[in-house]
Amino acid sequence: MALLEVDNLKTHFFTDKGQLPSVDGVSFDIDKGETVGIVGESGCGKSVTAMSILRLIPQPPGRIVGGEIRFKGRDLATMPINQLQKVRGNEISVIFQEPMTSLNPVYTVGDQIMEAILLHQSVEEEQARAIALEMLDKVGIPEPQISIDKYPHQMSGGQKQRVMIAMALSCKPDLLIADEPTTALDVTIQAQILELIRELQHTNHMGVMLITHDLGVVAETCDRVVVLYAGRVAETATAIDLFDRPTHPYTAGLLQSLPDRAHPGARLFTIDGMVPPPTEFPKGCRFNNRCPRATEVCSTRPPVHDLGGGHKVWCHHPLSAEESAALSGEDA
Amino acid sequence: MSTESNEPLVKVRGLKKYFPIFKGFFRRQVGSVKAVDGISFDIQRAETVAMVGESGCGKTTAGRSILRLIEPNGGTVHFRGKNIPDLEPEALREMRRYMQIIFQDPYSSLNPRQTIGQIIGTPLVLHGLAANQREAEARAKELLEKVGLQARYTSRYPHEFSGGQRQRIGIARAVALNPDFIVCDEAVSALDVSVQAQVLNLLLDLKDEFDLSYLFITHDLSVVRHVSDRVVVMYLGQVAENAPNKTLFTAPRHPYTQALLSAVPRADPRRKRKRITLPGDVPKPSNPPSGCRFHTRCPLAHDRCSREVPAAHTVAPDHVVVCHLYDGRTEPIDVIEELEKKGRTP
Repeated sequence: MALLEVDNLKTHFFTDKGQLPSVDGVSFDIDKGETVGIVGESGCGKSVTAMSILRLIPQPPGRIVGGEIRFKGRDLATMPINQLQKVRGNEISVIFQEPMTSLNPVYTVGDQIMEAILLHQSVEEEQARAIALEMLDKVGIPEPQISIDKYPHQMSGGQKQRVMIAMALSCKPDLLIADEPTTALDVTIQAQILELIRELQHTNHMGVMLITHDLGVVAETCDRVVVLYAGRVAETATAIDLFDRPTHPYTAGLLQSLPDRAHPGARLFTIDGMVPPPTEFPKGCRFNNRCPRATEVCSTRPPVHDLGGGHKVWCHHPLSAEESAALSGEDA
Repeated sequence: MSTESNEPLVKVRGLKKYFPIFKGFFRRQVGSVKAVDGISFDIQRAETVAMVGESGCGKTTAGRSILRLIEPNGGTVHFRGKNIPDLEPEALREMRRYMQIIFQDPYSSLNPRQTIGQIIGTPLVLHGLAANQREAEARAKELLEKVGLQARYTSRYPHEFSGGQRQRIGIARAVALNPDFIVCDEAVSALDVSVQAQVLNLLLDLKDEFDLSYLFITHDLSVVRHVSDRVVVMYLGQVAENAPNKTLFTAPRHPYTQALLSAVPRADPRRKRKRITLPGDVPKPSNPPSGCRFHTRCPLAHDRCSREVPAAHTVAPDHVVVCHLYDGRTEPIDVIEELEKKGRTP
């Protein structure tokens, strides 16, 4: 049994413009000690998927209308709220994208880390402070004894993200959901933070769900990847397979449009148009209005092709092995 | 123009911008943030110069000081035979026709109360390139088609467009006056990968068509590698290295450049390579470190680095490095190799 099994998750938003299928039948697993990347462009539903797992979707307008979220065999989608609160921050932790707005400005960072520890572990305040200090030290905050009493505004963006990680990991969760944890940070700080998550994952043997739009980050940190487009899974594979053999036309287009895969100064490959808003998702395959391979059959729901080794693609006209090999050969 | 063909289009020398820090009841000035502290570089005709660096290195301030959107505190910017910081307001306004900017945030850089036709057309009327608003609108329609939007959009408002479309509108506005020089301040950073590729292609096409020079300010090194002819690496308000694109990416000299390049994640899961992890954060520009500003984080720093400000060393005819390691040496020093020799891990 996988640590987390998301099965046919549907999270819809009920608005004046109608029922918006932001996440519409998404399935994936995460094992212990594994890093799974959830990638896609803005509006593909990656953050909504993450927030649905802990039922953090604002309700109304959002609602989980279908599917199961099994964590260690228990369904989080239907679990009573008082039980769910024991999972949140304890067995599953989240790191949000913006460390600047995710910390409470009127409490010291020490108070905020200790809050989770006191809530979930039967320890006294003194011990909680000791654990908080240890965590701050572990994530590389300079002078933890002094920093623990600082307020968020006294810290830099990179330090705040480290505090968020210290907080998320203080209860040694089994699953860490990291929603664009390094997007707001500079590359040298990003390298530090990703290294830190990897190290802590190794010692704690936790599963990591890494949500990102950065295919470079995916290539360097993930074991497996789920590519989302317009609220549905387009393709899922191991990281190596996905980059070696992109099979969905969307995945192939994304990889081809990266500047680091093109010759400097040459025209970049582009995917026509843009990701449609949920009010305008096309019928059938949701990529059909931008896909260079689309035909009439694409107005019906695409079938799944299983390429073996966990590599699956939902498409009427997937790339053949030769076609995708030609793509990855181009940048060599 | 043949007489000045060897002169760079834009020549920046010793440019400075300090922001004062006020404190206390009487708002006394207690110090200053040295956002840009004496930078020099050239931009040739039809050349794209990329300016890279992390947050707070002063790259955006540098771009705005060059255009005098904010007043620099010192230094010169020679452009079309004039020193921009010396220009009288009227002359500066005329000069703006030749130097334009594309902003990072496509949401806040377009006036929400103006139609697209007004946004693109008004500068044309102001600079006398269109006799009236109607003529300007007609020209705006042409420009919209040039940037890949439909001509009929001139009557619409900014909120009706997506981020990528708005960035195209911003680009149409910038090229409307047929400028020589455009500052692109993180112009594609807010866009998704697939849209970013579209906008980069557009910028490259327009460059060829109008013979434009770009100052491309960005933190994204894969974009830099793709679009630029030359790269200026900034650290804490100063230039660390200035080199042609190819040299910078194949044989970077400055330890900071090497660290920056090694930190960029590449979209290739098989590539396992060594990374230089820099300790700590970028220091505050209000109180920069002594000597070389990078010495607090530099893996190869020695005692000279904290005492003495490094000079700009020319390691090749068009390649400058501001680092003590290149005092009397031109060959690159590989940071990872050096650390391994000393038995330290990068």
